[in-house]
Amino acid sequence: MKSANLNNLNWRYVFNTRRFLLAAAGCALLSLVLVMMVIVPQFNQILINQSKIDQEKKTLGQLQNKMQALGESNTLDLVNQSKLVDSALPSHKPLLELMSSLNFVASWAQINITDIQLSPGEISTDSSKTATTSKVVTKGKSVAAKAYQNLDVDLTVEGELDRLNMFLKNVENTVPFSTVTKFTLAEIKGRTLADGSNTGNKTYKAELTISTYYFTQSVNAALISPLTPVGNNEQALLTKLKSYTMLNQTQQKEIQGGGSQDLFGIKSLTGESPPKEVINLDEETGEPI
Amino acid sequence: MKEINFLRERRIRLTKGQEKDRRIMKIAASILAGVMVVALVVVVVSLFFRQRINTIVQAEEQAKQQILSDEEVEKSYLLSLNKLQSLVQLDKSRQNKQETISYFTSIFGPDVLVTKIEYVDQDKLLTFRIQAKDVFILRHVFDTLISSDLRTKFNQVNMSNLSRNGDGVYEMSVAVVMKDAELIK
Repeated sequence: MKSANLNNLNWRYVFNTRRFLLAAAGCALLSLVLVMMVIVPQFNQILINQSKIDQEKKTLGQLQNKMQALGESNTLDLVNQSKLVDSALPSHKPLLELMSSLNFVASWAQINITDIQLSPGEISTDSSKTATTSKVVTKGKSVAAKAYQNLDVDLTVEGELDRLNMFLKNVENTVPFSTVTKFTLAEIKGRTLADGSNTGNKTYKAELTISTYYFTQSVNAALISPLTPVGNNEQALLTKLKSYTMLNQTQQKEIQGGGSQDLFGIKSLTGESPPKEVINLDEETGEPI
Repeated sequence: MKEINFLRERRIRLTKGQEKDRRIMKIAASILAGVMVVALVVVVVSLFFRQRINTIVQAEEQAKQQILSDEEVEKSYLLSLNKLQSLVQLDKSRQNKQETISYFTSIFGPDVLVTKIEYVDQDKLLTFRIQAKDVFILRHVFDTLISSDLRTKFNQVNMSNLSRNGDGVYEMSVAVVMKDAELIK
């Protein structure tokens, strides 16, 4: 009699008798594979996408708010008045503008400017200017640089007291924005006129230092950074600036000369009109084209 | 000898076993079906979220393009606003100075002349020199400067360099440390 061999499993027998159990095992295995390979990774992806959607929605909201703000009337109002703001606080040293406004106010107040001293410092072109926005380190602490610098002019004026007061008051009501920082008053005694008589009114001599300001900060903004609205203080100042005296100065864009025969155009003053040699200047760099 | 039929017994046992296996298979199949449905739902939701992200990103790109097209407007606005903010500070300091000078030129009366004024914005310091024609006017000036009303309006008021010239006119320096003016809120 042959002995039973239990080592070799009879798959055919197992399949015939336990096929339903095998199918159940197959289903369980397939379920496990689906859970591990599909459901779990996709579920994680859903969580990541959900958080990404929230973040992108927030960014989109910020962008849309900024788009809306750029189209609002308050924004456009300020942009339309940028010339006024620039004239009050220019981005360059307002030497010419200050001289013009001082001359204008002195003429209007009927006083004489007898002496003027100033130290404008570097008068460099825009391309050669170095950035002045780096932080200044003072005693171990870093302090942000000021947004503006000042240009001082020392002035000596003469006139009657009330006219001097008018001059002082109106110098601070013109653009560019200026402040009288020093003032010394002295009476001038006994002004004798050409015919030998003495002036009736007392004349005073005032030594002033006038500081005018110019903007030196560079302004940067990120694409999604929101637009800061115009505050009440800024709005009030803008209204105030509109009442200031502003002189219209035409910017010279070309050099006009008399050519090689008449360098300074003297002959044009005498009625002759020599050929003009016009040199056009580049608007951005100010250099001859 | 009586024959024992083991096949029937075996058949019965096998049939019971198969019934049990069939029940297990039904349960496993149901679980598989459930898992497949869940997998399908999860995949559909994931695709939906991906599509949503694409839509939002597209809208962002459009918004960015629109903002970039208004770049000059934004530059001009930001520059003007920053300048205005600086001007507000400057105007506040200047107004403070003007009000202080106006105050001091009015409290002493018409007999006192202010001859020299110096203003340092950084320290909020205003110094001025006054002239009083006689000692009685000077005394009035002293009384005014030491009054408590003045002390509440300004952080510090100091007098110095009192002198008398040949004409009998008294001159004195006054240094005032101003308080910060309040802005419109």
